[in-house]
Parts: sequence; structure tokens; C-alpha cells
Amino acid sequence: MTDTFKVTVTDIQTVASSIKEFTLSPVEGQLIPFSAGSHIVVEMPTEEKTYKNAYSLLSQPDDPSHYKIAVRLQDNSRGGSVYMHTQVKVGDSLTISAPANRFAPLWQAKKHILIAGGIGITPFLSYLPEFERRGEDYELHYLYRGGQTGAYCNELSEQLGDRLFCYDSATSPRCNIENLMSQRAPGTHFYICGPEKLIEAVMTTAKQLGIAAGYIHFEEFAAPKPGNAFELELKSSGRLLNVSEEESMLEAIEKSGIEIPNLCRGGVCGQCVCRVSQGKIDHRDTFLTEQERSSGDVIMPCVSRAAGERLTLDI
Amino acid sequence: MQDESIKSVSSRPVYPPVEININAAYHLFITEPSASSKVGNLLQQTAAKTHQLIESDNIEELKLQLTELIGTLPLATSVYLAGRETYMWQVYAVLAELGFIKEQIEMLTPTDNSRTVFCCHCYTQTHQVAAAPFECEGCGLPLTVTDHFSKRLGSYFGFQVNAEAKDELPAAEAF
Amino acid sequence: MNIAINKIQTFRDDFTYSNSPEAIARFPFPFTDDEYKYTVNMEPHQPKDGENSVYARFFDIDEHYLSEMKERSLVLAEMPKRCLVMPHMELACWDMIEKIMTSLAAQYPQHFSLTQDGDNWCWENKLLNIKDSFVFGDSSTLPKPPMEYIGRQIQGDFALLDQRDDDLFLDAGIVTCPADWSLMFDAGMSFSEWHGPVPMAPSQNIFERALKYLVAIPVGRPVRRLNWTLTVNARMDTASETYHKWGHERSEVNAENVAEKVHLRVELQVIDRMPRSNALMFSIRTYLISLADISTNPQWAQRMHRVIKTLPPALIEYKGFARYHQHVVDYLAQFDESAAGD
Ligand code: HEM
Ligand code: FES
Repeated sequence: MTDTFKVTVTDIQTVASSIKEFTLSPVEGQLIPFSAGSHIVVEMPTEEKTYKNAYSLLSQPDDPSHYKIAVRLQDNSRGGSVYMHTQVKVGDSLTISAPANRFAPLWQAKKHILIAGGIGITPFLSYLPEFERRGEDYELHYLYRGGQTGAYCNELSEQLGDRLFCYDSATSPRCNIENLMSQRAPGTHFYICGPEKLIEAVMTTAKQLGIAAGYIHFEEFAAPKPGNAFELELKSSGRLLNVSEEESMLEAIEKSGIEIPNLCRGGVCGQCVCRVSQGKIDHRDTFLTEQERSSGDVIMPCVSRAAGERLTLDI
Repeated sequence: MQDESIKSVSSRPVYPPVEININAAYHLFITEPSASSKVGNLLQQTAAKTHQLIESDNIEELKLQLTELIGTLPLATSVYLAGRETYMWQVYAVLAELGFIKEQIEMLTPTDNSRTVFCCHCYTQTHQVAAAPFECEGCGLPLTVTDHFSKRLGSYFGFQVNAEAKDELPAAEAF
Repeated sequence: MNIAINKIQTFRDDFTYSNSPEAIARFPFPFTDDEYKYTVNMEPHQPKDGENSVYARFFDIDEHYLSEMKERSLVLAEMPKRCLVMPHMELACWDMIEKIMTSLAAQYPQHFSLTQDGDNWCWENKLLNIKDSFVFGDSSTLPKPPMEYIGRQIQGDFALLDQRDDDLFLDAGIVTCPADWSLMFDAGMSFSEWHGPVPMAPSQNIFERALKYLVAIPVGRPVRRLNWTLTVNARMDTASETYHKWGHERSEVNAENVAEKVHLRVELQVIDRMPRSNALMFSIRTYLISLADISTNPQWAQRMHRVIKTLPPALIEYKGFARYHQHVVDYLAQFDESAAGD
């Protein structure tokens, strides 16, 4: 899957004490326009591994001259945020994926209530111009920790006026989710992007109020579950491969020069199916039926892994 | 374009038994006047101040009425519909336009087996069709009716039964 | 490749449509096996089979361009609602315009050109003598609504699918040459609803699996698949809408005329994510070839004999050729040695 391209970092701004904003410009030509709520995956090659993190695009969707992303320095970051904060400089080049969208606004909604926790503000920044263009009715509720994560507050309040509700945990009262969600008319949709706890709070409140689950939307960054390293035996070719923590079985097999048909590389299309002759499987796809899973003799190597230390495939 | 294989069609709605959504804050019953008794049982299970029954078979009027009402309804409203199948889907379309989502709308078993049929040749909808083939009210062609159903149109798909051979005109069968 | 575009031929009445030897050679023959089954048969939409193949470019423009555009205008004149766009699909229509204009201008510069100055675009279609300047994204600056405007300039039917709740909805399209379905009826349906009439496939989870895959298609990774059926006469518009006008042709096939009358109808379907709207664009490019022309390639004729002969009855019925199935099998048998004596 080489649908990646190079961009140049043309600006870095500190937009809150723990958040940096990066402007990414095309090396040549123009970038692809994107839809409100899209994200890109940024590759960060470090010595021990290449991190791949997804970041929401927060620039104007119809402006192909540059993308903007914002990255929060995570406290216990194993991953890319440290790299982005400490290694990346203006003028550097980065490899990114094409935009993808798993968090688009629902245009059938009569009113949109956006609830952002800290860095969760980012996908909503691309909603706003599209809402304005289409004349949508909306409110933005922004929860953050004073100074640390409250990026873009001033710009937003200028732009949104009384449609913006800020809750700075350092200075103002906490956001009362129940008040926020009750007294709403049919057709009001809620979108949440933020920490798990915030999403849970909204879901629980919705349940208590009897609000149908279809009114609640949240961004799930399906961060690939960390994998274990294991040994892979290819029976027919008699080869022994090591699948490392950061690579998929499919990648390891391809690296060894063997081609396996594949399409989605995300466990949904069914193209890459392989027969297993030995070893326990950690199924992570959404393709195989329950029956096929429990049979234990087929696997989708693009996402699934060995449950133990060794797996033998019939290829 | 005919026959057996078309029989089990996934676009055909099913109407499982309806229960009161006890989590909802408000219960709105909308029925054809002749069908209001169908929701009596459900109505009784909800407190008077959290329910309302609207009987109407005039979709245009209903639309105006609901447009006015919607500002006073909570988001956690459940709607229950009763009447003929096509009536329920017409009301469904009005509700969807007003912003209701499908999880909020329950439909009782249609009060009869009649179908509204959309003629794919002239785009006319013939209502209260009880058997097929029947004569399209728009173009007069004898139409057979499949189980392919459009929620948007509240109609089943109809096409000329004997287009391939004029003399193959089967006797009408009730749905 | 420098395609020569034919003078206008007809897909109705006197059916003057014909395929040149070049068109026959590049026909997308759909059968990869001696037996046909429904499968999730998708592959990346990348060029293959060389410069002359129908897969060489994103959209295939061929010798029938003028004829098909004429046929489309005839259909739309009679039934304007064969082009249908729900209001929330406007942006997706502009995505479609962008995709079509940029691809055609880049891949067929002899016929099409596009100049872009910010949002001020100038589009020239030399085949149809069209030259228009407009503001990208502003539908009032086009002579026709966006979907219809561009749809009248490109071969094949188009649908735009809105994506919400992990499902797809058929909310816009220009469909003048479908294989027996109606856009007007299917409009607004979900993926499983509009596939409702297809037999057998549901039991095999095919649509469930296909949908999971489709909603995950990212920008820039289009896929394609082939679908096929049989059509009597070179009739492009085999929509349900006009079935009362062409249905009788299915009864007119006999042993003498089967080779000329019966056509293999192949749809090259491409599915591509639209960047601005997140809609999916589904293009259905239809190719017609008579059995007589198929039989100029003995391998094709042999394989097709085996496929048609072993096709499950439910599919024969669904695809609408039960009445003349046997004529097709009998005709093709002469090209299949293993069929001698059956
Ligand atoms: C996403 C865009 C798609 C659209 C708009 C679309 C539309 C349609 C329509 C309208 C029909 C005719 C149904 C009828 O008889 O009324 C059909 C048939 C069918 N579709 Fe799709 N389809 C799409 C994608 C797919 C995909 C990805 C598959 C892959 C499994 C698929 C498999 C089929 C099959 C097997 C049939 C039956 C065709 C035959 O046997 O002639 N479709 N499709
Ligand atoms: S490549 Fe699609 S399931 Fe593995």
C-alpha cells in the first residue's frame, strides 16, 4: 500500500503549551481536497521503528495549497507525538497518506452539537467552514485544561460568537453534560472527539435521557492494537520468518518476496485469506465468519496475528 | 424480470412486534383514523402527560402539524405508527425530513395486505392494490408486483406482466 | 492510442451499432472460469493489458462515443428523471466533474482540455463541440445541473453514493443504460436494499462483505469489477422504464438469428472515493458484443458456452434470458469440442 506522498513542513506554531500545529505543503503541485472530518496518517521513521499516527486535518477542506494538523505531546508517549514535537523542523519532509474520513458530519441533521475535549477540537475545525458554507445550525462545546490544551480559543470565539461554549477546567465550572444534552429537539446530533472518558460520559447521559444511539457520533481512531513478535513458518516453501511487533504478517511475507493477493489490508475484503496448518490465531479481521474463526484453520494475514509464539501457514 | 428467484427480497420491510420504548421521554402515536385502536394497548402503557395520539390520513396536514409540534418534543421521543403499509412509510418520510432517525420510529403490522405499487414505466403510484396483475392507473398496462420495496416511495415495484409475450396474462392473485 | 470515433450509430429501431475488429479485440470478456459464480470480484483499478485495453485509462472512451452520447440525449429527452440528484449530493456532483474533467483532459488531450485558474475553469470537449467557462462549485454557472452536464459527455452510467452510518445510499445518478433496474425506484435506498432483487448472493454474505470493503475505500484507491448479462439486439437502454417496449424482443430469438441478435452485455464498474464529499462514485461502463462477434475468438466462444450452459436456473431467470437460453447454448456448442454430441 504505497498511497503515500511527501510533503514539506512549512510552518510550526505552538498553539497551546502542549500542542504544536504543523503546516504541510506539497512538494510539487497541489494536495487533494478533503471532506470535513478527514484525517491523514503521518509516518515517523525513528531508529527503532516507524510510527504511523493518524491526525485530523484542521485546515480548509477546499484549500489544496496546504494541510494543517495539530499534535499534542502525550505524557506517556511511546509514540509519534514526541517525535513530532522534538524532531520535526520547518523544511523537513514527511510522508503522509491520502485523506480518509470516518467522522463525517451527517447532513440530514437539523442541528449539530460538537463536543471537543482538548486536542479533540481538531476534526471540528474542518467542520466549521463546511457548516458555514451550507448554513448549518450548530454549537461547539469545548472542554480543555487552561493553558495546556486550549488551542484556538480566541480565533474560535471571534468566529463563532455565542455558538461557542468554552469550559476551562482550571477556571470555569465543569461542563454539565446532562444540561448540554437535554432540552434538545428531534434531529439534534451530537459529535464527540476527545478522551474515552468524555465519550463515555456522553453515551451514559444519552442512555439516561432515552436519546437513541444513532444521535451520538464519535471518532474512533482504530489505533492498531500493539502486536507481539512471533515466528512464522511457511510450510510449502519451508521458510521461517520473524514477524516483528510493528509489522503485519502480510508485510513480513511480502518482505520475503512472496506475493499474496490483497486489497484492503485492513481485514475487510477477504482477498488475503491463508490456510493455517498449526498454531493458535489472534483473529483481528471483520471478514471471517464466526464458524471460520473457530475452525482455526484460516487467517487474514493483513491484520491477524499468532496468539502464541509460532504459526504455520500452508503456503 | 419475473418469478421465483425474486421472492425473498431484502428490501421488503418486516414488522416485528412493537413494544413501548420505556427509555423514551415522550411517546407519539400517529395512525390512520381507522387504525387508532391498534395502538390502544401501547397507549395505555404510557403516562398521559408523556403521550399524544394523532389520527390523520391527510399527509400534507400532518406535515404542517408535525412541523409545529416538533419544537415542543424532546429528542428522546419515540414514534409509533399504525395503518396501511404505504401510509406508515409516508409518515416515516415526513418524520425523517423533520430530523427523526429510524431508531425512533416503530411501525405496527400493516392493517391490510394491500400494496401501493410504483409503475416503473410511467412512474404512477396505484394505491390499495389487493391482487396482481392489475391495471396501472397511469398507463393502463397490466402490472405484476415484486417484493422489491422503496421506503422513499412507500411502494412496491411493478412492471408489465406480459411485455415478453402479450398472450401470457396470468389470472390475478391476492397478496 | 489514437481512437477513431465512429459516426453515429443507433442502439434502437434499426440498431446500426457494430463493433470494429479493434473494438472486438479489446472487449472486456468477463469469464475467467468455465463456471460463473457471484463473488466479491474486485481488483484495484490500475491500468492493465496494455495501451489499447479498456483498462488503460481511468475512463474508457471508445469508437462508440458519439453514438452513446446521442443515445443518452434521446433517453433524457423522453424521461428527464433518468438523471436524479438529491440536494445533499451537490458537492459530490462537483467531485465527479473534477474527476472526469481532469482525467479526460490528461488522458485524452486530443479530444478534451481543461484550464484551471483557481475556481475559474474552462472546459473543452472537441468531440461534441462544447466549450464552457464556469466557476468550479457554483452550479449556476453551468448550462445544465452538474451531474447532467458532465453525464452527457461521458460514456457509461453513473451513481453517487452518500456514505453514512457505515452504509451507502443511492442518492444521485444518471442512468440511461442500466441492465433492467430503475434509478427512480432505487433512489434513496441503502446498499442491501437496492440489491434486494439479486438472487442467491445474500446467502453467501457477498453483499455484507462487499459493503464493509466499500465503506473503507480511501481516496486515490479506486477498484473495479465486471458484471454481465445478455441483451437482445444492441439495445443500450434496457432500463425497467422501457421494458414494456423491449421485453418482446426476448421472445424473438431463434436458431437462425441468435448469433446476430443476442449480445453479451458487460459492465465495467469502477468505484472511487470522492475527496470533497466523501461520497463514492460508481461508474458503470457498458460494452455490447454480438455472439457472432464473440465467436471470432474461439476461446471466448468455448468458455462462454460452458458458462452459459452451467449457469444456475435462478441466475438465468434473474438475468432475463430463460426464454432463449437454450438457443444460446446450442449456438455456442459448435465452438466447444467437449460439447460435441450434446
Ligand atoms: C457501490 C455501488 C453499487 C451499485 C450502485 C450497485 C447497483 C446495483 C443494481 C442497481 C443492481 C440491480 C439490482 C436489481 O435487479 O434491481 C445490481 C446488481 C448486482 N450487484 Fe451491484 N451495485 C454496486 C456495487 C456492487 C458490488 C461492490 C458488488 C460486489 C459483490 C455488486 C454485486 C452485484 C451483483 C452480483 C448483482 C447481480 C447482477 C446480475 O447478476 O446481473 N454490486 N447492483
Ligand atoms: S487484504 Fe483485505 S482482508 Fe486482508
